[in-house]
Amino acid sequence: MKLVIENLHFRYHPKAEKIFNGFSLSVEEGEILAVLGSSGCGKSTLLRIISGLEENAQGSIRIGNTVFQNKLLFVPVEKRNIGFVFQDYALFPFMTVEQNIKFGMKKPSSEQLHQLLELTQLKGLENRYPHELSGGQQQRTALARTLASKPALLLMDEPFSNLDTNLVDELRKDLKRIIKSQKITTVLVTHNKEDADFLADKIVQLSAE
Amino acid sequence: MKAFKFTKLLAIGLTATMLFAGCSSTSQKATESGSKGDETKPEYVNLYTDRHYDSDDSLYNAFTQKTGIKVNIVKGKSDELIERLKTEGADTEADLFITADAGRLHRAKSSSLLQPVDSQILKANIPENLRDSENYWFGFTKRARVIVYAKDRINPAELSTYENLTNPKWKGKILVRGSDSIYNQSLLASFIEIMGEENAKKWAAGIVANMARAPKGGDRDQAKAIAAGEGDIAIMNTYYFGLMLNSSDPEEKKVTEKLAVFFPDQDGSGTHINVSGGGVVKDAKNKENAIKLLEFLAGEKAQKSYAEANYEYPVLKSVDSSDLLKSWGSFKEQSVSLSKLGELNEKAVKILNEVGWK
Amino acid sequence: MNILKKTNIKRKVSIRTLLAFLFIIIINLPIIAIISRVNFSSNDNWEHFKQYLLLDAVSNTFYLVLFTLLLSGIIGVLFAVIVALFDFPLKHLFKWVLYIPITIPPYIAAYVYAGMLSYTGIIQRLCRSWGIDLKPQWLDIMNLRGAVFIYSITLYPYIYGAVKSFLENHSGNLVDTARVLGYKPIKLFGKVILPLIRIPLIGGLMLVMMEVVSDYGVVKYFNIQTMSSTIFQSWFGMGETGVAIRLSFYVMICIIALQGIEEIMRGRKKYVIGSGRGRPIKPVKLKGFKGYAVIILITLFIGIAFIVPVGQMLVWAMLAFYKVNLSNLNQILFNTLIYCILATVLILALNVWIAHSRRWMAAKSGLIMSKLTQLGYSMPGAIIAVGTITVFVAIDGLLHPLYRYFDPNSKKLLLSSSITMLVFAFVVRYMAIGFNSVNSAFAKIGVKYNDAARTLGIGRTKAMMKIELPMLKSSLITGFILTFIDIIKELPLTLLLRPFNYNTLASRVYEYANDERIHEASVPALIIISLSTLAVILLVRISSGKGGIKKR
Repeated sequence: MKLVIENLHFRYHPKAEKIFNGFSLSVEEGEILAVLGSSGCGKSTLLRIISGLEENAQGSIRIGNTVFQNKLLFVPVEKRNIGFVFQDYALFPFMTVEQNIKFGMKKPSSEQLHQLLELTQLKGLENRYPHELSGGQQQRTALARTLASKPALLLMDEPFSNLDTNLVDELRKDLKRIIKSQKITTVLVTHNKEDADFLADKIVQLSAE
Repeated sequence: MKAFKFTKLLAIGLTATMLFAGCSSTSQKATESGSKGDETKPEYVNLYTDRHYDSDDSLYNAFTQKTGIKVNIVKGKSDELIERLKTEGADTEADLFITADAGRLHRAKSSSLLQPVDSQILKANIPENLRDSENYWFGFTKRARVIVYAKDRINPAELSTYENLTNPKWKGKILVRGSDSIYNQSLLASFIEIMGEENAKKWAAGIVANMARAPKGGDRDQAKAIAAGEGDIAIMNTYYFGLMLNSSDPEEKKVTEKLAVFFPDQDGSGTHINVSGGGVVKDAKNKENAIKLLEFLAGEKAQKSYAEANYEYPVLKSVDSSDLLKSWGSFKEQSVSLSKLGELNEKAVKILNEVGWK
Repeated sequence: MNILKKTNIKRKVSIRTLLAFLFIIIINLPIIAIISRVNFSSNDNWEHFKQYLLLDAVSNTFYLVLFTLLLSGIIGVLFAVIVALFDFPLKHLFKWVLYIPITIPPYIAAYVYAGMLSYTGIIQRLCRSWGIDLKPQWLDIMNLRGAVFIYSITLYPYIYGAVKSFLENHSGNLVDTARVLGYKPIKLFGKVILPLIRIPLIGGLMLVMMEVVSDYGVVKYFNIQTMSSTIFQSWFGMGETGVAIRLSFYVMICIIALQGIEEIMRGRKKYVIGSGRGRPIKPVKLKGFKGYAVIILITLFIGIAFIVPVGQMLVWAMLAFYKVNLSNLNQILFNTLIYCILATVLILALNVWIAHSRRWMAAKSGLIMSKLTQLGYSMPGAIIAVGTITVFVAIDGLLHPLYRYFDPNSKKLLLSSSITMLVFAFVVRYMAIGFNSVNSAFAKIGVKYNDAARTLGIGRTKAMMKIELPMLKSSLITGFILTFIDIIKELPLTLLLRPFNYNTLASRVYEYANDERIHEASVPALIIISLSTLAVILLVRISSGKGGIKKR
């Protein structure tokens, strides 16, 4: 579904500098958008605003025909049905891979679990705990957990920053394959131009004012 | 920069405290050694006591003023002080051991922690049953364990002996604290001596059967429970009743005035008493001073102070009890030798456990 | 080039580790002294105990611990979650006010509540004056339920503190993830937060459990037969050391076993992701009604746990003030602060060293070490006291020739008659309190900063002092507050181990309270409470205010 952001304003404290000042953006259905920028320019904040974790932003955000926020209304994060893969993946350390993925499902079904394990090539690792996985496996677990909730929009924060650079090529391919197979609208932020070039259909450069 | 500062601060703090610890122990050493080295050494006596009344402190001050002997004090619980004396053995610093129960005094004696004292003053001032038969320890104040009742509900004519309290007519009316109270243990020990183990056990079982509620709280709480109507009769010490009548809380005073004291067993073996007393520690380094302090405590001035300040009965015949105590009347005391309370303590505790006195 | 100057010999065990183990052996000496007296042969006293007291002691202790853990756990977690996850008016005030009930010693709370609810207490008196007829049994607090209540309202801050700081620092992304996935607060609590806080929660519960198991004041006053009261009665009451030592030994074994079971149940799961990089949680604003509801809830609770009892003590203190001898107050305050601060600083320093070295130890020996530092906490204070005297008399015996060398007239029991013994005993008893906060802090930052510093040519210990300690400042401060408060309100150790003429606040409280003069006891007790409260305020200020290192 199409994501539209219009005239976004945001600052952390009333006295702080504005991070966004009339920012607008739109992403077509099924498109992968990369937001590129140096650290501290507000990339991650943008994702937190879209997801609804940051409640103090002004402006309007729509996905498809659903308005998430505008002057009058604010849909809380729990009801937005957005997928968010955090930079450190935020896997629950006390749950196994399977439990983590099922955590994302509204109705746990083993059929869906198998599909996701297949898709993310995690077969055989279901009973491992996150700290027993490699970085790439952790990332795919987080992705699987997010996809399990069948989100209307996927947000990814620095997908490769925690990973071994030798493997990045392969991981990029995997990631692109998985996202494209799901035909899901995606916004990812990164500081790495190569990542952006490889993965994205469209790139937005964000700079600190 | 900040990080550095914090660490530095911590390091300085640590060294400072360490140094201080060193200093405080050396300074202690200095004063102690000074006291021993000089010709005109200041005299002192080291006291372990489980009596902890402000009035006692003023007595010790008076003693110092009179004799020039300084009194150094460790206050603690009697049983733990006995344990400390045992552990310190021959090296102990303590010269005199004072506690508020004859049973404990006997235990100190039987653990070979005390030594006999031959003092005419002590013998003359203290009645024979209130001191150890071999003069290891001496009692210097008395307390009686009496019956306290609700004036509006109980006719004192119905009260007679401790044994009478086991009569089924008092079912659900008797209030008394738990079996861990040394006062209850000593009371039962005196009964073992007077009526034999079998009958003492029957008595304890009878009290348990008549209890108004599971035993809890201290002596004062028993009196309050009478006032609250939970029961009609309490077994408690005169001392605490005196405290309540002079409570700083007017309500407590008012409530206590509805209660009265009854001395049981007046036609029989007499009301149970216990003493506070002291003995000179076996390995005392300042034995003479310790004896002087004991004699002082058995003397007229100290006896008067005990009577006035603390709702206790003096042991010296020539000193009167306080007006409050006198108003309750004089009474016949148990003549049981108080050493027996100590000897029979273990038996008493076991009986209390066996009859389910919680 | 200066590599050659340093020793390059490969050591199997580092001096650091050896030193840590040496510390642990030293602080366990009193416990060894006690345990070495255990005698398992059956005798009359043991049989008597088994027949008449065992059942009550075990079942009362069990229920007391179980229900106290439940209630204090619920209170502690509830407030920790509210404070960590939500923003509401006056939060910055309430955040630390919720710590303050820990400043009231449980036995004081027991006396105060029993006094308030008694026939002459404020509540029954008011009801009488309004003509309401209350059955005194309804207000009876001197029973097992009452003890659970007293322990819970005075001990829950152990849980509150541990859980709150864990949530604030570690759960940000995890909680956000669950929210993005559509989890509502209640489900989020059950599925994510509860399992996540397992370690700090269990840590806090363990502290509460050990406090309850070894406490003697409350159960004695309420006359509840527990393991601890039985230990006291059989040792100090009957002079029967055999039963008492055997019992304390069993209690200790039970506590170690419980911890072991928890360790096993945790299995392979982890609760903190290794990098420790979780972002701090972002609290959600509670607007309107909900915000006020939270304020009312906390205010009510603080009223019950702190304001009401302390207010009552103030009234009593004013009634009895003229009877209280305060002539040496300065000296008493000085004495109190000296031993409290000395012991607290020592405990923290030792704990820092142990937690620091633990990081390079095999998991198992590290675990054994951490359990060994906590043994003292599971034993009643008076037992530790006796063990400590035994050890110090022996040390003085050994060192006497040395004392003589410096001062020919020196007495033999030099250390045992100074505050060294008192401070040492506190270190033995309260290592566990400091250990939790210090150890979890070191475990959290791992070895990476230390390694980094080392590659820059700074030794491990120096790196710890210069880099890691400042980073851990807030944890150290928490450890300091908790330890200090525990020591200042402790009674049996102070009572038995102090030198001649060494009066402290706790000993003054005891002298009055033991005599059932709670009104008079309120005066020194209030001073203890104000000092601890001051410590809380001061240190909360330092940790959150300027000049502090900002938490990530």
